[in-house]
Order: sequence, then structure tokens, then C-alpha cells
Amino acid sequence: MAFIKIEDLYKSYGQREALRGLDLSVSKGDIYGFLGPNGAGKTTAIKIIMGLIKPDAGSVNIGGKDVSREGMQIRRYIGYLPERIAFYRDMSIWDNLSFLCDIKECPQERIYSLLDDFKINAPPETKIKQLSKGMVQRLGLAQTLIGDPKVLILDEPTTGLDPEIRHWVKDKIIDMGKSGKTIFLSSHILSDVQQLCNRVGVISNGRMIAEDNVDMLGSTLRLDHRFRLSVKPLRDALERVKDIEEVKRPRIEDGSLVLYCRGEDKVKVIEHLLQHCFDILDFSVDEPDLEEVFVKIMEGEK
Amino acid sequence: MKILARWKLVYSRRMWSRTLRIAKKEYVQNMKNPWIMVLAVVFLVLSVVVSYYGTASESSVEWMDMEHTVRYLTAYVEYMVPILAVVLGYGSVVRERESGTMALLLAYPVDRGEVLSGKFLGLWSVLITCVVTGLGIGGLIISMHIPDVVWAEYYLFILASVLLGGIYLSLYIMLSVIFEDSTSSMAGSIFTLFLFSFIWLFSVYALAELTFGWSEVVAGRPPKWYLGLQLFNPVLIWYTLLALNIPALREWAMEFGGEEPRYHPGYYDTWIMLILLIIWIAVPLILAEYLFNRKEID
Ligand SMILES: Nc1ncnc2c1ncn2[C@@H]1O[C@H](COP(=O)(O)OP(=O)(O)OP(=O)(O)O)[C@@H](O)[C@H]1O
Ligand SMILES: [Mg+2]
Repeated sequence: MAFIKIEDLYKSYGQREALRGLDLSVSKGDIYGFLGPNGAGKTTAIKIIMGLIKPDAGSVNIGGKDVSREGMQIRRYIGYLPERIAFYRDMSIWDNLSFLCDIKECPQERIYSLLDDFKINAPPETKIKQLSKGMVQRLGLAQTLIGDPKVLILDEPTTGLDPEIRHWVKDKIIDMGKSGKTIFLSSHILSDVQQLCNRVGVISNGRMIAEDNVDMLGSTLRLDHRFRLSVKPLRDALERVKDIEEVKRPRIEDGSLVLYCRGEDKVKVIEHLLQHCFDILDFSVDEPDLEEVFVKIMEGEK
Repeated sequence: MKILARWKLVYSRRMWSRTLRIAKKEYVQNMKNPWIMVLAVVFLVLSVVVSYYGTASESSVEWMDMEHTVRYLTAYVEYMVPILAVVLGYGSVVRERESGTMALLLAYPVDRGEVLSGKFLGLWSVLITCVVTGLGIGGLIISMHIPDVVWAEYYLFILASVLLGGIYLSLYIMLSVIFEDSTSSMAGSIFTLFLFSFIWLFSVYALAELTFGWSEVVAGRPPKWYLGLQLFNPVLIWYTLLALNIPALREWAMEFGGEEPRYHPGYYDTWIMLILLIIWIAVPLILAEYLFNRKEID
């Protein structure tokens, strides 16, 4: 049974339709990736889940309770990371967290272990305005665990962080998932969702266009990598790779050979070119991106 | 049913503990705010100066009586208290929305009404701290120079001023809910301050002049609607409450467009005025809660 259930959700901002009949369901224990490009309506949906804005139509249920009527009870077991986390800047780390603890009616003893867990090594008396962005984001994540909630709603938890912290945050989310929490996270980064989630919902223009297990991204959609080769002679190489069955859309871009193929077929391409005595000077691979997901989903629908 | 459910909430201990927790946070946060501190000090210094020179003024040979000093103090409290309330109230909700902390707080298990009442209680406590310290020390200075201070009158003066502050605070919190940015909220708050002092005075004066003539008011024969209209201005209620109880304020009342209490109708009574002040605190807060529940928080 669905633990979080969104049905036919509509929301407009004036003329702008942010959500147009969004449906979605998350089972207990899922790590659900809510994937969509900028402006797709992810944050809007999350704000409705949290009761911060009201939908024009449709409903959101969590654990069988309607958020618009029983939001107060529901919020007792939810942890939320807003898209732009903000704390009281003129208050200390400790004062912020102990305030939030009191509001959630939880013991304050856990604050120390939370700070420890999330590697917030500044003294607890430090004012928020003195912290770096990465530190504030970690504190934001730590704050979601106050009161040991069953559900975590994370709006773009990995965006805008440096690679090291981003990596760390991802590990932390995996840990939180292992501890049995249901996690709903939004992202526009495909690889993040692939690494973190077991379920994925793809949203575009306020509508769910695909919802499936995350393997779908790899197996059903068979996403292609973008492969760029610096090779000599270029024109001949282009003609040569056209013979390989697995290669799609080969072309010349900025003096390099660019083509799309499955991850495991890359080696085949290189071997083929080497066999025919081409000089490979350099190569690079881009992971499949969100655009590729959309292309495939649209292809599938035709 | 909904009303019943609300009443059940009124008795909920948990609700009060959250409200008081928010109040405490507001109190501590604002008492640390340097601007509030500056205003508190200004309030204190001015109270002391006004009481000192108030008691000593006119003929420097004799100390004035307490009532005449209160007269000077009212003229100053009438502006100082609303200004203090502007600084405390104008950003109370809108600034938290702008910074994003409101979205975080409201994602916690707390009712929006609890947030507003917590804010009101916390900010009002800050205002009460400033007013009671300022006027309290002022009162001590007065009592050093004047032997027979009628303390009951002075306490009433402090109480009424605290209630006046509560009214402005409640109005400004409401404006802070309504406006989408803090600059507009600040402008709206300052406009409200002027509305109840200058603008009201001039428009009522103009209205009186056009309809029955200002001289009728001066002669103590204003029409009924004119007297009723006064109750829609919290400053005039506050002033009437003081004038009803502190004789020295009466003669002075007219200069400020207030009514000569001798001609106050029967329903102008101390308790009515006190109740009206409390209603004036409650109504904007209830409206604010109603509006806040319908606000989108982003
Ligand atoms: N307060 C608002 N007023 C007007 N339009 C808004 C508002 N908030 C969002 N929108 C519009 O609604 C649409 C959906 O926005 P939303 O923030 O939900 O997208 P998103 O999927 O979270 O995007 P991103 O990845 O950039 O965070 C956008 O076109 C946005 O411009
Ligand atoms: Mg967003």
C-alpha cells in the first residue's frame, strides 16, 4: 500500500500552471527520487506535501491521513529539508536546534550526537551567520532527523555543494535509508537518483511522465552515454563507426567525434577504431543526463 | 464542530507549551537586537527626562504635581510606544518568510495560530519590559519630588500604555502577515501610526467642520456619531481612559481633538475603555491568524 499518495494535484501561480494533475505514490521504506528539470514543479509538490501551500485541486495522503486536514499530526513524523534551508542567522547552532527540538517536543540530548554525526565541528555557540554554506546544508540535513521521523522529504539535498560534501551527503542519505526511513527526494541530477534511490518518478511540466523502479532508467530506457573521441583522421573515423551497430547519432563536433552508445559498448568502439589503425589521442564520456531520459521516455510513448 | 475543536485546543497544554516556546525565542532574540536596545534606552532616557523636567517645569520654584507630569508623559508615550511596536512588529512574520525560516518552522508540528500568538506574546513582553522600566523609573523620579503621588492613577497610566502597545503590536503583526515584503510592511506600519494620530485628527476635524462645525465640539455639544467614531481609534480610547481617571488630563484633552470628558456620554466608562482596548488587541490578531492560514509560504 502506498505510504505517500498524491492524487491529481493541480496548482497554478496566476497564469503559470506549476502542477497539472500530478499523481505519485511512495511505498514504505522506499527511497524515492523525484526527478525533473528546473521548473517542472518538484518544489511546488513538496510544499504542498508539507502544507506550506494549498493545491487548487487534488489530495495528498501520508500514512492514510490527509495533509490538509491532519497536517499537524503528520508533521510529527516527517523531517523536511527545504530547497533553500535557512536558520535563525543571529542565533547559535545550539539555540536553533534546541528551539526546533522543543517545538517537536523531543529531548535535547540527541542534539550532540546529531552534530557529531553530521560533522558539524564548529562549537555549538557559533552563530549561524558565521557558518559556511556546506555546513548550513549539513545542519539542514541534521535538523530533519530531530524526533527520529519515519519519513524524510528532501528538496534537492545535493544541489549547490562542492563534490566532497556532495559525496558525503549522498552517503548519509543512503545510511538514513538503511535505517528504515521512507525518503522522498527531489533532484534534477540523474546520476544522483540512480545512486541513491530504488524508485523514481519523472516529472515534466507538472505531470508525472514515468514512475518505476530505478532499474528502469538502466534497463527499460537503455540510456546512452555520450562518447567524445579525439581521433585521426576524423572523417574516416566517422565513416568507420557508422558500421558499428550499437553506435547512435555519430557526428563531428568541435573537431572531435561524438557518438551515443550504451556504457558497455564504449570499449567495442575503441577496439574497432584501433583495429583499423586510427590514432586515438583522447576520449571522454558523459554520463546519461536528464535530457536523455526524456528523449527515451518520449520515444517509448510513441 | 470546528469551533468546538478550537475550544478544545485552547485547553491543550501542548499548544501552550509550543506558544510559550516561540514567545521565549522571540523575547530572547529581540532583547539581543541592538536596535531594540537603542530604542529601549532612548525610551528610558526620555521617560526620565520628561518626568524630571515635567515635574520641574513652569515655575521652577514649585514642583508640578504628578498629574501634570503624566500629561507630558502621555504626549510622548503616544508616539514612543507605537514606534517601539513598529520596530518589533513590522518584520515579525514577513522577514521570516523572506529569510526562509518560516518555511522551516511551519514544517514542524506547530499550528500557524500558535506561531502568531507566540510571536505576539514574546514581542509584547519586550515592549512591556521597555515601557515598565521606562515609566517605572520615571515614576520614581516623580515621587522623589512630589509628596502625594496617587499611585493608582500612575499604575493605570502604565497599564493603559502597555495595552496601547499591545494594540499597535497586534496591528503590525497583522500587516506583517499581509505584506509580501518587509519594506512595504514597514511603510504600512508607519502609515498606521500616522493614521491614528495626525491623519485621523485632521480628517475628523474636517468632517466636524463640514457637518456641524468644530465649535460645537469645543462647546461640548458634539453629535452622537462623532463620539462613537472616537472608539474606532485606539489612541483616543487610550486617551479617554486616562482622561476619565486623571483629572488634569481633561482640560488638555480638547487641544488634541479628544473629548472633554464632562461631555462624555454615559458609555464612556473606565471598564468599557479597558475592554475596548483588549478588543482592539484581539481583533487584528484573530484577523492575522485567519489571513496567515491562507498564506502561501515560499
Ligand atoms: N511563488 C511563485 N510564484 C509564481 N510562480 C511560481 C512560484 N513558485 C514557482 N513558480 C513557478 O512554478 C513552476 C514550478 O516551480 P517549482 O519551483 O515547483 O519547480 P522545480 O521543479 O522545483 O524547479 P527547480 O529544479 O528549479 O527547483 C515554475 O515555472 C515556477 O516559475
Ligand atoms: Mg525546486
